[in-house]
Amino acid sequence: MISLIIMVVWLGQFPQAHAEPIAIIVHPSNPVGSLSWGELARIYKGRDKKWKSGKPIVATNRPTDVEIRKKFYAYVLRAKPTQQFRPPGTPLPFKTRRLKSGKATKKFVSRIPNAIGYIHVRDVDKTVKVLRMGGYRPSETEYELK
Amino acid sequence: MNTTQYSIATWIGGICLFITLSYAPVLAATDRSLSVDQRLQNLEEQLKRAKHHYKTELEALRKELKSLKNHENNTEKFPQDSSDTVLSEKVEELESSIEILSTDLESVTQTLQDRVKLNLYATLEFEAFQHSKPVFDARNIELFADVTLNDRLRAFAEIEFERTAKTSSGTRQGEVEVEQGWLEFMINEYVKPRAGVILVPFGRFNLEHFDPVRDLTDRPIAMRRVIPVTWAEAGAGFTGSAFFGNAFMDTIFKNLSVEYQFFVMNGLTNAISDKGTRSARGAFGSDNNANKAFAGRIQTNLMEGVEVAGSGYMGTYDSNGHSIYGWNTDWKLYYGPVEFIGEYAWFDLEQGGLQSGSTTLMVPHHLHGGYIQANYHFWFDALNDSFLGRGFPSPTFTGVVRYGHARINDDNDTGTGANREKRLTLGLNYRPVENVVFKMEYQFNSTTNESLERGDNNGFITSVTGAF
Repeated sequence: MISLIIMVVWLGQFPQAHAEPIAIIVHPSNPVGSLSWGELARIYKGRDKKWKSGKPIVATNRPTDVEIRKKFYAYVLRAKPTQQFRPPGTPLPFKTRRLKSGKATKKFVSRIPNAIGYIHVRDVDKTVKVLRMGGYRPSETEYELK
Repeated sequence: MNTTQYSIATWIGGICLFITLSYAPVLAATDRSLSVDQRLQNLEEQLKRAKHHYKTELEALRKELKSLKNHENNTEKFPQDSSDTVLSEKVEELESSIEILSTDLESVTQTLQDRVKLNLYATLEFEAFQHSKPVFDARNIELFADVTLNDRLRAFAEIEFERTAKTSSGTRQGEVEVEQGWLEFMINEYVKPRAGVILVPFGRFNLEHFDPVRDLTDRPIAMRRVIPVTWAEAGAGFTGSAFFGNAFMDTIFKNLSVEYQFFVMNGLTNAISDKGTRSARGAFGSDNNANKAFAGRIQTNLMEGVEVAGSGYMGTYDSNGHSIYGWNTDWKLYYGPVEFIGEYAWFDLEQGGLQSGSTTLMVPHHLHGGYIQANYHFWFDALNDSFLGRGFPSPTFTGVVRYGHARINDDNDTGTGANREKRLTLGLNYRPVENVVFKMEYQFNSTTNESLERGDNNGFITSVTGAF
């Protein structure tokens, strides 16, 4: 028992790994305020190519070796970060806009009205709109993409 | 010393003595004229002047020191590397701006490209089968034109140049065929009316017939003899999709969606034999009867990795109103690197086809067939620096096993009994990138009665195909 307590105290002195939420962002003028994870997956698989307004969706992405893309693909698309998706009716894979950094993603989404992207919460500011995903905001504990 | 020298020395000595004696009283008078007080006063004044001088100099030095200290303090506030930090921030900001500008430019370019997309894929095959000569086959080049006129209007064309040669007869004959050519008017995501030359929505394989998409070179027997892939017809109808996942957000059905297509078309003709339906594909500008055929397909993406679909076809195949009905089911199941795909199709024909009141045409009463296929995607990291992996972000090998068969009833021709052909295929392909694939496969074929495709001949096929 004592050894257990000692171990707990010993472990307690180390900072715990804190996973930062990944926010799904769109242009502030986009009327969409929330999506389900399934809808987001369909966008990034090239199955849904238009917003409900009829405007074409411009999906942004990050390089394949970046940690945030690995997390995004693993959780949202259930796939390796290098996987490509081919929508029905075409022999060509679906293309996304690849941006180098979270800052570039935020700036791109803030400029292109039909764009969607994913960035760390720390990179979010008022130039973009954060979507409620699966009913939760990134600040809520139930938010799943971390 | 002689006399002369003595006299000169005497004169010099005398002169020196005279000079000394002449100035001596003056020097003595000067010392004597200053009192001790005056001398002290002089010294005090000299000391005061020296003090003042040094005081001034000290103050100047203090000021200089102070200014030096101030400078030093300022230097502490802006350390040596601060300018580097500022510069690097500027550089980062500049790089970011350049990236944004380039992405903006790319976006504009992409938007223009999205309006009109021109793509093609090409396939070259080599095959060596028992009882036949090995042959290279420059099988086809397919051109795609996808034009987005605006957010709701879209035109699409797929034109195949088969065997990529001239279309005249002879040894280099080829064929040009429109496999798709339609205009789509989107009402909303649920209803997108489409008209023109469309792919008949009867099974997944017909809709996804593109060479770069498939993992084996040869099509399954049933997908050529039972379903005449590529099966295109002139007609009209609509496509659409609906997403229901939001109603099942916290369940395994959170990705539930349905995609569908329904079309009216000219339909298959009476040229259906016990070799299959390939010759019965309808012309784009004529029909052998007034009845129009109907085809539809509904696919459900039940959950992540489970796609199941059902298709139907009904129409008349001759001018006397004899019917043909078709059913099809297809599926795609995938989990990680493993995929199971398959399809099965049936056609039933009403017997007694009478063509224009003349000869009674016999058609097979029943056609059916399908395939099941397992794919396993893999890669060896040890090959990353080899010629197979170098420079490619995600090269992949795929091992494939497929079994397929087709069975077509007799049409009362010279051969008797139903024709049946079975095929087991083992394959391996390599994709340096998703849309370029090098395939190789070995087929084991066996047939009953008339040969449908390969007869009893086993053989090897390899091909390269790429979409650009």
